Amino acid sequence: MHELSIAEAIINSTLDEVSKHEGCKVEEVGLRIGTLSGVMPDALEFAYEIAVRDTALDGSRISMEIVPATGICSECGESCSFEMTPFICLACGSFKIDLKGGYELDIAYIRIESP
Amino acid sequence: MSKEIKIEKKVLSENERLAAELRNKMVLNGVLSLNIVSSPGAGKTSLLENTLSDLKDEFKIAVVAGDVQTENDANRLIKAGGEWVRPLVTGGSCHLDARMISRALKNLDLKKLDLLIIENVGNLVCPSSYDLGEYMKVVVISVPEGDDKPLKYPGMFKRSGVMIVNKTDLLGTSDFSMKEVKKNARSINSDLDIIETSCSTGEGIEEWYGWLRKHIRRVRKKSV
Repeated sequence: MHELSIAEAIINSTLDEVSKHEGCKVEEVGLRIGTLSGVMPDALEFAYEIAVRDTALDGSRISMEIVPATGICSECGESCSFEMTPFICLACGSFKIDLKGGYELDIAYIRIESP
Repeated sequence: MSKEIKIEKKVLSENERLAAELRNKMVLNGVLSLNIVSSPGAGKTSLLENTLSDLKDEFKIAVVAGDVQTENDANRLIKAGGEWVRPLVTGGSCHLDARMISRALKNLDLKKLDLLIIENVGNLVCPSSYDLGEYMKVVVISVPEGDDKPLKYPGMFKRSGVMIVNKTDLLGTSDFSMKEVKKNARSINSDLDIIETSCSTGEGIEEWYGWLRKHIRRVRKKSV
């Protein structure tokens, strides 16, 4: 349910950025969403559509790159990617995984239309 | 013509800035700050009632009690002996954020404090996204919830430093297996400390206090 708060944070951050480019219209906001970030992409898309109304970003959309949980096994050094829990090394079976990716909740870029 | 502008900014960068400020303040003042998370009804408030009642003469403790509605939890904690307890009613929001905590702590003198406990809203998803400037997250689960909880909510269990398995007095009333919950939790987070408690019988509570004492000492040392 916190996707609406996340959508508002995205809009505020983007508005800050857009103020540096006068007269430009934002077409797309590019996000990177990790599978462990606690954000559900569909819910975020829906929340964004609602939250963006009556702001200077009205008419823009979000584009999401989903980042899987990835990590390195502390026992054998294998690089692993996880679609599901548990986080277990596929090479040696260890649970000692140093997670490197999956928590992302980033604005990567904005696409603007110049006047 | 359209063009792409690189931003590379965290969505919650403002929250993270405030959380970092809070964390600095706590470390400087030697305060152990804990963010307690769980699903609704796991026993966060019961655990804190015990803690306040038993440790109030040993440590100066402050509590921020988050809830979607009512100040029931805060009132229970005051009754249990809490000297500084602030309710934080979110009015529908499913999580606490760093700004709410900054505001709640406005008139608190950190110099005299040993331990700050933030009781988050009962929810294992949304609060995991919001850093509250804590030293560590404490995740509480309870026997009736089932032993696969850590696998279902990996984000929260990976980000926590200690897991408390509460309501151990109910072991044997369902197919919950202590061995299985520990295995599941450590398959998400191999460094997780695990403490078994029952707030009804008092079993395991001393171990929790031991954990608190150890970390309060550790944080004090850092501030010196």
